Amino acid sequence: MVIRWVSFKTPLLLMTLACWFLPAAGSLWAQEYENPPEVLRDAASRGAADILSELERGTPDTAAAQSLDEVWPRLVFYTVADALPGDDPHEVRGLQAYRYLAELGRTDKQLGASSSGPGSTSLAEKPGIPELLALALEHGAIEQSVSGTGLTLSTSPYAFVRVLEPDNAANFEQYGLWRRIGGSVTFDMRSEDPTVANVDINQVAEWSVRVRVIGDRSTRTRKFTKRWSEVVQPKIQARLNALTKGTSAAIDGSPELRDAADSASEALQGQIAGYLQNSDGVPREQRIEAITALTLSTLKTSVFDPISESRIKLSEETFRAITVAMSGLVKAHEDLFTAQQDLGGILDELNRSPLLTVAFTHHTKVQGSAYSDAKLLFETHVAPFDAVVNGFISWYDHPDPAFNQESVRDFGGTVELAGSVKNPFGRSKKLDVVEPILISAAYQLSRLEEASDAIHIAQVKVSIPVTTGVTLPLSVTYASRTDLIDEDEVRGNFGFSLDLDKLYALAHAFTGL
Amino acid sequence: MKRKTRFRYDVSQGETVTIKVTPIETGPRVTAADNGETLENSGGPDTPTFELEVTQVPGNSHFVIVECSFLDDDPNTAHFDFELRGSKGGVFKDVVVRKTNQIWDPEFRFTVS
Repeated sequence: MVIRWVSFKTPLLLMTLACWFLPAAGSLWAQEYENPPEVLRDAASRGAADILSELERGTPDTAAAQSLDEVWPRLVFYTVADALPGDDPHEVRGLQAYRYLAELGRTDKQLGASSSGPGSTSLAEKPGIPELLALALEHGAIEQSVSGTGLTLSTSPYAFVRVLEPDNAANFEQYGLWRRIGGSVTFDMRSEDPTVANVDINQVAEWSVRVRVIGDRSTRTRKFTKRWSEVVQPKIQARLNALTKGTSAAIDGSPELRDAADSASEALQGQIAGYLQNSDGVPREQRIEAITALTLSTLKTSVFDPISESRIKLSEETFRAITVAMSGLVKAHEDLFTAQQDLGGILDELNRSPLLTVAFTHHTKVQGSAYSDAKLLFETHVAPFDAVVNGFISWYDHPDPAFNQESVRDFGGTVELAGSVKNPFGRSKKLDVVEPILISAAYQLSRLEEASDAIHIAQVKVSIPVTTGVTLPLSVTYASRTDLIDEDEVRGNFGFSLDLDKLYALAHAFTGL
Repeated sequence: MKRKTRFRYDVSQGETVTIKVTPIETGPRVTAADNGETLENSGGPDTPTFELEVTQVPGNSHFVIVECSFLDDDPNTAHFDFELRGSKGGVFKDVVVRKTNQIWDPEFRFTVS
């Protein structure tokens, strides 16, 4: 979820800018809308940002300025409510900026290397398949004696289907089989060990293919959309009903006001187009601030003042309709804050649904012989924990009798239980929802054939989301031995995982202005 | 239906306006309202479609907001393609709500001429 607005720290500078670029609009700038309602200022700045985005996509100045129409009716409604006498319409001043609901982070995607890959901090593998290219860079090692830094790239064949077909909802369902298949390649980014004999120039440490047999945790499925429609959509609907009722009452409630607002909108769009023409090279944020200030100034001059000074009089019926709509909007905004929790709830449902995946991985060992493994990965929710169960068997491509190697390298199983606690990081506002800290405990029992020995591994891991898209995994692992050395050891690992989708979203939240 | 801007149209009394929304790289989570009333999705599960009959008096408008709900795990290229069609003529297909937009709930105004 995002919240973006423009702060007006330098109105004098903006007025100077506007007078420079808009000499004809100088009179409007004298009518600054001081301390406008938060919801009004936010909507105006979002509209300004979209105008600039249109321009940046190559839309001509005039057409880009017309994007103002997508928010103009609500701007008029908010302004009218602000200008009317009495306390009820002034509820607009208590309205916080509207925040679109968005998904919290998902934790089921295996973004790092597999549990035996270089730099892995995972003992049990989770069965989710990232449909978009994902990258994780981790540092440390668990099961190997050689430490390394792994770079894992993951994708799904569905990504290639999207090259040929539009990625709409119909094709998403039709080509669902392709979404069940995923692949990844892990590169060893620090192959400095001089004893490594078989590292190729591409530094591929392992590659993997996965097939999801049971379950689908995509938020694009019809099943999830149905849940969203049942749980979240009614609250969005209530806001839209109140908002359209308010805009209709405000604009069509008085022909005089409608004419004034329409004339102001037309003039404003012309001024914005002129400003866009003349402000090429001005930083984006300044342009947004200038357009926002111009918009608010126009609303002050053309809507607020005529109503507050009774130059335009609204009927009692219109006044009541606006008051009722504003009350409904306030209630809808309050309900939408709970809808954030509702959305989190249905996302939890989604993330706890059973998932069964079969995986094949080929390891190009940085030390020792290359081998492959097959794994059965199952994840489900056993209240209050998320449980991950893996079964695996591995075999050498070319067993080396000199090292007592046979075809089967090892086999075994892993059980992991995970839970979550509140995260004190990443919350800058009371209403921000942050991803929880994940705590897990795992145990793996395997048999290493060449050593004719069982290996016990126990691990406790904490994943701390420190900010959007960045997670810090920490773990402590006990192993009764490694595959190379017959000595028990306790090792601590740390790393960080990056979710590019979230980082892009974060970048947008900051640069959208 | 005649276009004034991408978000403003002139319509005739009794005309039916159809708004078809196609989600790309995201799910079909779309909600719409017209002058305080819910607009029901009359399309299939994959392509939300909303119809409104023009009932306002000349000079007045139908104010329609269509909110497109993105989620965090939608890629930055996710968007909703709009098709607006008037039963008495006029088809417009160039309105797009992108995840990178700041406004995900554009308001359309259909004024009775």
